[in-house]
Amino acid sequence: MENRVSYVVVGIFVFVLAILSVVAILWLGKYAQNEAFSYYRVVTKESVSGLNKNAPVKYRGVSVGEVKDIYINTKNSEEVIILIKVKEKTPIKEDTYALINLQGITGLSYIELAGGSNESPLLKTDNKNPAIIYTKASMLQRVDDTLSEISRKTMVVLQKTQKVMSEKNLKNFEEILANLSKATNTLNETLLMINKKEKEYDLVIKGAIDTEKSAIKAFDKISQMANIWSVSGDKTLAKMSNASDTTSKVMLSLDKKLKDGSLDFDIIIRENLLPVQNDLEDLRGLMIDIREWIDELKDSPSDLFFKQSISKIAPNEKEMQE
Amino acid sequence: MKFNIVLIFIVIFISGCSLKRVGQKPQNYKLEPTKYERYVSSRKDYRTLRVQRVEGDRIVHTRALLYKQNGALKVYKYARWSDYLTTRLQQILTEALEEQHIFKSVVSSKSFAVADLLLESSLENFEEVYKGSDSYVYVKIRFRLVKRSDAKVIGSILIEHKVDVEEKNLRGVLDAYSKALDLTLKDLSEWLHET
Repeated sequence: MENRVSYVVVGIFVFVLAILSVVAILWLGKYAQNEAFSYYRVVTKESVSGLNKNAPVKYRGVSVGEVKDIYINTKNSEEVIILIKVKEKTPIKEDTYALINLQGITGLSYIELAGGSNESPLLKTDNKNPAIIYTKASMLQRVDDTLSEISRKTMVVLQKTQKVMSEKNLKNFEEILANLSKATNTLNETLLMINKKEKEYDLVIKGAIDTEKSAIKAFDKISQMANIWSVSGDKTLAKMSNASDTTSKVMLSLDKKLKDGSLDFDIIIRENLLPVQNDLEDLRGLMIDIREWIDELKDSPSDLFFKQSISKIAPNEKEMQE
Repeated sequence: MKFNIVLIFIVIFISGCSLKRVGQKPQNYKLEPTKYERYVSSRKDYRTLRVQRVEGDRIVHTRALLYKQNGALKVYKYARWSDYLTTRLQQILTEALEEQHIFKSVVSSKSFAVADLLLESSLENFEEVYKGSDSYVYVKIRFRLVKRSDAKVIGSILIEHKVDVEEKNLRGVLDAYSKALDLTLKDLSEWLHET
């Protein structure tokens, strides 16, 4: 008897609980439906793998909505359009941008809205034709790009290193090191030799100092002799100086004339040669006349006085003769 | 006595000079082209050309009008050029080329001016040639253009023309010479313009 009662109570309790749960769900659903949302389109060219419908949309870390739909832009196959719904009061501005971030280590992604300065006006949207929010490269994308760039540059560096470290260069480097080693050894040997011959060098330097002293004495003597000669040499030097001055004046005068153009040898020669040339031309004419005359005389010398030979006239001269 | 005999002989000897023989004297004719015509368009060559003296063999250094008949070269009896053929040709070339405005200036070898280019010419033929009763004027002349600074030949051309004598008299011959000169100057101007 006792067992049967407890079963009924439990049954009633479970039944009531199920009804309350349904009511609670309906109540909550109704509450959610009453909340107003705005729709936006997030346009990106990145991959949206990990991002699913109902994925959260956060604005500065605060959950403000969810992803409603994801599809490829039929007019531009490079773009993916993510339709999001955001609580109506959320201040989505014209300079607001979207990021697709990873949600922990699960591999799932969510939309992070950022930007939106106070000065910027609100982004007007319409549920039938939602406004567009453009994305910026997500941190992952930036990391990816940076890694790609680093990878590319590393590759270039490696290639250049490979070129520098070619067998030929390595061989050259080896030779340079060997030569450097030889040079160092030679330098060491030279230094040792210098140390050994230090006494000899001292002697040489001492000799040089003695020579210098002797030279100074010799110069003193020469100086004394020059003083003696200077008395007789002064007159000669004065004459030479005068001659030099005169020559210098003449040269300066010539130089001035040359610079002025009043002493152009080329023009002087041409000026004098031109009349000679013209005279020669006249002389040439005279020579031609004499030559022709002599040719005529050769044929008939008596023509000199009597002009006996008669030359024929040209066919076209007949008219003139008539 | 001796002196008198010598004097008589001298008087007889020189008496020939006193004889007056009336005959036709040779006339002088000036060689010239029909007119100094412009054959080419102007060219901006800022160099001066000097026309050198016309060279040639002995026969062209003359004032005689030459004609060739049966292979022999003869001269006109009553006509001759007013100046030596080569001298006159140099004058004509200078004047005609100056007229073309190809160069900054064209001067003759008698000019005081310094030239950049030299035009050397060699006259081969300048005569009237008879073929039976007909004749033509034959002009053949070679020109060389030389750069004065390095004395190098820039170009060379041989120009020759035969022009028929239309009127069978001296006027016709002179006209033929003028036409032959025109053609020669035209060819020379065009060659210089292109070179």
